[in-house]
Amino acid sequence: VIRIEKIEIIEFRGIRKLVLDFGGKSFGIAGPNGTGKSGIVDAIEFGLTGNITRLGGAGTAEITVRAHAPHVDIAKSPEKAIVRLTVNAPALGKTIVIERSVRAASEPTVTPNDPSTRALLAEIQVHPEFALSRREIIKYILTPAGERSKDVQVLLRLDQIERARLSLQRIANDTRREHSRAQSDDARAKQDFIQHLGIKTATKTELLAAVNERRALLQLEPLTELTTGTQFKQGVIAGGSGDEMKLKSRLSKVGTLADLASFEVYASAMTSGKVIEDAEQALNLLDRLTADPTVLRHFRQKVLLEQGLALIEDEACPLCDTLWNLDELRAHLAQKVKQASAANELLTALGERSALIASSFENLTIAIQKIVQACGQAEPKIDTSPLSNFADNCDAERKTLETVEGDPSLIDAARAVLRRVGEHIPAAASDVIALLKAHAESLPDPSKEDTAKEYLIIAQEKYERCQTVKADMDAAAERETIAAKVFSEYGAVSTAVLEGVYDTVQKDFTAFYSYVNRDDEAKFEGKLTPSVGKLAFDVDFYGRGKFPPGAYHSEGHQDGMGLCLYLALMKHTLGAGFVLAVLDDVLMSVDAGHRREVCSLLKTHFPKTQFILTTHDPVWLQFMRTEHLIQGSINFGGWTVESGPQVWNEGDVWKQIEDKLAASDVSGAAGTLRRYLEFISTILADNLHARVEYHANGHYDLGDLWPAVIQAWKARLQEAKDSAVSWGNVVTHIEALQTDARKRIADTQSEQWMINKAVHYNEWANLQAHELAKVAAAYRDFLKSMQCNNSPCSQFLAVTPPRGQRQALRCGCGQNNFNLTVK
Amino acid sequence: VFDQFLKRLEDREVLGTAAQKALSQSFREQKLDPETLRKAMFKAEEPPV
Repeated sequence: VIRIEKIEIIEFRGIRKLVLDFGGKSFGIAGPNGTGKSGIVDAIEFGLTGNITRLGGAGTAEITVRAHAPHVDIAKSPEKAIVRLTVNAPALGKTIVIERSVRAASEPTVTPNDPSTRALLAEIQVHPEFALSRREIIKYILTPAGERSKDVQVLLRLDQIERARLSLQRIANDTRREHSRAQSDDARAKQDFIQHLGIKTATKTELLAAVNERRALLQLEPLTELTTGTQFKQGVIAGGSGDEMKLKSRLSKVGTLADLASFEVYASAMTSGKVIEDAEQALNLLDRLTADPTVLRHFRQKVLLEQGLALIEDEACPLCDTLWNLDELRAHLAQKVKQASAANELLTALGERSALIASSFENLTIAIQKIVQACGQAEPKIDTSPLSNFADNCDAERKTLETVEGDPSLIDAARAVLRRVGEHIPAAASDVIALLKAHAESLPDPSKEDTAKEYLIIAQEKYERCQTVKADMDAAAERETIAAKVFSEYGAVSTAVLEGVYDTVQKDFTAFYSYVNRDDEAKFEGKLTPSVGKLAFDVDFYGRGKFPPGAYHSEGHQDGMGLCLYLALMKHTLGAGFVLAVLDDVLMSVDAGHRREVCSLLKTHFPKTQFILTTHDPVWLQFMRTEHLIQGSINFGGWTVESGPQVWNEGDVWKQIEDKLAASDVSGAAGTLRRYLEFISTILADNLHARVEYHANGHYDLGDLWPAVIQAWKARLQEAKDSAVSWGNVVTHIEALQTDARKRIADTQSEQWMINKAVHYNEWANLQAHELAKVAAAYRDFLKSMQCNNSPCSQFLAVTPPRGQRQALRCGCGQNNFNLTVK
Repeated sequence: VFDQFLKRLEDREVLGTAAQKALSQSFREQKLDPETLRKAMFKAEEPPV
C-alpha cells in the first residue's frame, strides 16, 4: 500500500535521534543484539499505526506504548517521543508525511490530510501485519490449529467473515428459539380453546357442532363454514356489548371450572416424565459447563466482552478507561469474543433444553393468573397470596432458565430451579385452588341460555386469540426458515471461498519453500486444512509423510516456513498492494547455505515489495547487499542508553574517529577503530573465503580475523593473476592491485603485530592523537582499495560463489570481475 | 465472500427485494452485528404507492 521514503526517529525506544533515508527501496539494518535495530521496526509500526505490537501480548501486561515507547530518559514527556515518516502511496500517486508523538498516538499529523490519505492510514492501522518479528512470524507455524486459524484469518483479512458468520448464526439460533416459543403459545391457545369448547379435537365438524348446539339453544342460525372471520357470537349481543361487560364482571361458573381444569393440565405437565427428563439433561449440560474451568472462563469472558463491545462510545476501554484507537478497541474485543466462543456448543444445547422447561413454567404461570383473576371476582374474594407468590416464583424461574444461556452469574440459580422441577405445588397454593373450586361449584347453575351465551362469547375471544397466536407463529416459522437458509448459504459460500483461498495459499507456500530448499526438499509439500474455527497445517518431511512443522523440521527450516507462509498469505491478501514488509530478524536461524535462495525468492517473487530487514548477523547483511536484495543498509556497532545506537555508516566511522581525535579522545577513537575493524573483518573474512582459526565459542576478535583477511586478500589477488596468465590475459591491472595492496598493508603495520608489540592494536590507545590518525588513515585507505570505486556500488570485492570452488572475485556492479579459475 | 454470498441469496430468491437490498447495504458498510443484520434480513417490503 505504501513505501517508506524516509524515517526520522526522535527520543523513541532506545533511539535518541536517527534519520534513515530508505528512498522507497529495500533496506537492511544489522547490529548485535541490544543495539537498537528493533527500535527502528517499532518506530515504523508506531509511525504508521500508533501502536507497537511487541509491547502487547503475553507477558507484557504492565507495558504500554504511552509509558514505555519514549526513551527512558524522557519517559515523563511522551510528547517529545516522535516518529516522522515520509511515505509514498503508489495507489494514490502521492507522497504523505505522517508525524506521530507518543502522547497523541492516535492523532497523527498527516500531510496532505485528505479523505483518501486518512482512509489509507485507517486501513494500515487495522492491519499492521506488514511489520513482523521472528516471534510473530513463527506463530503461524508453531501454534495450535485454533489459534492459527484466528491469526491467519486476521492476516488474510478474513476476520470480518468470521464476525458475519457469528452474527448470522446468532440470528438463526434466536429465530429458532422464538419459533419454538411461538409454537408453545399456539399450543397453549389451542388447548385453551378446545378446553373451553369441551371437544376432544379441533376439527371443523366437532367445533361447529359444539358451537351450533349453543346457538340452537339461543335460537340462532347454525354456522356452516369456519373461516378466520367466523363469528360464533353473531346474534348473541344485540345493540352493544352490555351483556359481554356483565359477563366479564361476574364470576362464571362454567369459565372458572374450565380455567381450573386447564390449570390441572399444566400443573400435572410440570411433574411429567418429559419435563423431568429435560431438566435432567439441562442439569447435565450445566455440570459440563462448570466442570471445565476453561469453558467456564470462556463463557464468562464472552458475556463480559459482548457487553463491553456494546458499551464502547469513545476511544477508551469502558472497563479501565485505557485510551485506545476506537476501531482497534472494537476489533480487539471482537477478536476476544471470538476466542471465547469455545463454550458456544454447550450453551446452545443448554438454551434449547432450558427453553422447553421455561415454556412449561410459562403455561403454568398463565393458568395461575387466570385462577387469581377468578378469585378476585368471587364473593367474598379469596385471598390468593400463596398462589400469587407461587406464580411469581414460577415466572422468576422461567426468566432464570431463559437467560442463563447468556448470564453465567445465573448458573447456580438455574441449577436450583432445575433440581426443583417435578416438585408438587405448595400446599398453601393448592388450598387456594381448592377454595376457588369449591366456590365455583357452589355457584348456582346459570340458565341454559346464559350458559350458551357465555360459551359463545368466550369461544369467540379464544378463537381470535388462536388466530393471532397462529399468525405470530407462522411469522416466526418463516423467520426461522429464512435465517436458517441465509446462515446455510453463508456457510456454503464462505467454506467454498475459504477452501479456495487456503488452496491458493498452500500452493504458493509450497512453491516458495521448495524454491528456498530446492537442494534437499524439492518435492516438499505443505497442506492447510480448514475446519470450523481451526486451520491445521502439516508439511512433508522428506517423503516420510505429513507432520506438524514443529515435529521434525529444524529451527532454521521452521523459520523458512514461517517466512514462506507469511509471504504466501500476504501475496494472496494484498497482491500487487504488497509493497512493504518490515521483518525483524525473522531469518536468524536460516543457515548460510539457504541465504542465497531466500534473497533470490524475495527478489524474484516480490520485486515490487520494499523489504526492511534487520539482522544481528553483519555477514547476512552483506550477503543481502551482494545479492542486490537491499539497496541500502546501516550497521549498528553498539548502543548506550545516553546516546542510543552507534551507527556505522562507513563514512561516519572515519568522521567519528576524526572528531574524537580532535577532542583528544584517543582512547575513544582507538576503541571505535578497533570495533569497526572487527566488524568489517567479519564481512571481509566471509567475502574472501579467509581461513580463520575455529573457536567453539564463536567469538573472534581483531587478532583472529584481520591477519586472515590480509592473507586471503593477497591470495585471491594472486589467484586472479594466475588465472589471467593461464588464459593469456593482460595482468597489468591485477599487478597494480597487488602492488597497492602490499603498500597499504605495510602502512597499516598489521603484519608486524606478532613481532612488534608497539604497533599492536592493543597499543592504539596509548598513541598520540596524530599517530593514531595516521594509523586510522592507513586502515581506511586499505579498506578503500578493497572496494569497487564505482560509487553507486562501493561494494567490497567478494568471492563467488560464497561457498565451494572459488570462481570469481567481483563487486556487485560487475566493474571488478576477476576470474579465479585457472585454464 | 460477501459478494458471492449476496449474489447467491439473490439468485435463489431467499429474501424479498427490500431485505436483500438492506442486507447488501449492511455488508457493504461492514455493519455486521447481529442486530443490524437481523433488521436488514427481515425488512418488510415497501407498500406499493
